Amino acid sequence: MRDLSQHILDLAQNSMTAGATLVIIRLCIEESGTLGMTIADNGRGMSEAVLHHAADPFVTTKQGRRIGLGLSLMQANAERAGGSMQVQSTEGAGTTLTVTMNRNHIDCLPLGDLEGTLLALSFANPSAEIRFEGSTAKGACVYDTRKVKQKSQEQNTSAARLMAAMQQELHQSLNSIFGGGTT
Amino acid sequence: MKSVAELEALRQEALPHVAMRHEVHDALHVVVGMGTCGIAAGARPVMLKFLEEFSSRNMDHVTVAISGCAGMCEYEPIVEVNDPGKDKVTYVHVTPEMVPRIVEEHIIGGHPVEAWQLKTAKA
Repeated sequence: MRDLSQHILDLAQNSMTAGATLVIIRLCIEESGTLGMTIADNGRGMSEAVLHHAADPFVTTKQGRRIGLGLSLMQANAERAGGSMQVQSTEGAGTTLTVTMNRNHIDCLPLGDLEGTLLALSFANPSAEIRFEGSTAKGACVYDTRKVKQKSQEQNTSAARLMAAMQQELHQSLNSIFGGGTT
Repeated sequence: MKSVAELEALRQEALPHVAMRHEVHDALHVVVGMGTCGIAAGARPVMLKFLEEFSSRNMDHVTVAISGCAGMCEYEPIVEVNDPGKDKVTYVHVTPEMVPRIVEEHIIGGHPVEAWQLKTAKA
């Protein structure tokens, strides 16, 4: 993975595969350079046994496969940047992933195209809603697909126009805290 | 965490969409491989380009879905075009630049782009 936004896309998709109807992504970048991220879902969760091996690249719950790299790559990238990754999960209730990184570390991944990731996630699965909460020294922002969908329903927006509405909403929210760009 | 009532409300809200997704398979749809391998190979801009093309051409009848790793990671980004009643067409090593031609020639025109399909790319 070249940047954090690709990891977010990958991990949030794990949530959707686990049947989540809501995925909450929180990203907090402190002035000191500490980056904290959580991805929380209300999917089916993992049993203790699966959770124990979740970050093992040779363990997966996918059928007919023997390799699952998503979590192990995230863990490696977090640890490379002076951080860590934790997975908490309750069977039947959901999973929460916590990642920390030091943004000032030379091996810390760039953020990448967060806007593209959140837009792709918004359309990835019609029955899963996405909520993003971001905060930086510049302030905080929230993007919620439920809010955008409700607004476009009120304004009778066509499906084709929904994408533009979401993109605009995202762009405004992210720009307010990341400034000129998210890279 | 969300309360049970809130989750139930979400479920009720989601049900019609789930039903819709089953119907999707009776209509023309595009599936972008978005497993870990697909994402690392650049599937995200490809998916967004398809969404953008369908949105700007007002093609509400075509849907974009995603799938996980198909076990052919070396061919990612992989895009499948499923047109009911016709053979599934698999495009490999897809880039955003290839998307407009696939939309125009294949999805609108009905003629799959031979050169970018799995079979020919292998040879």
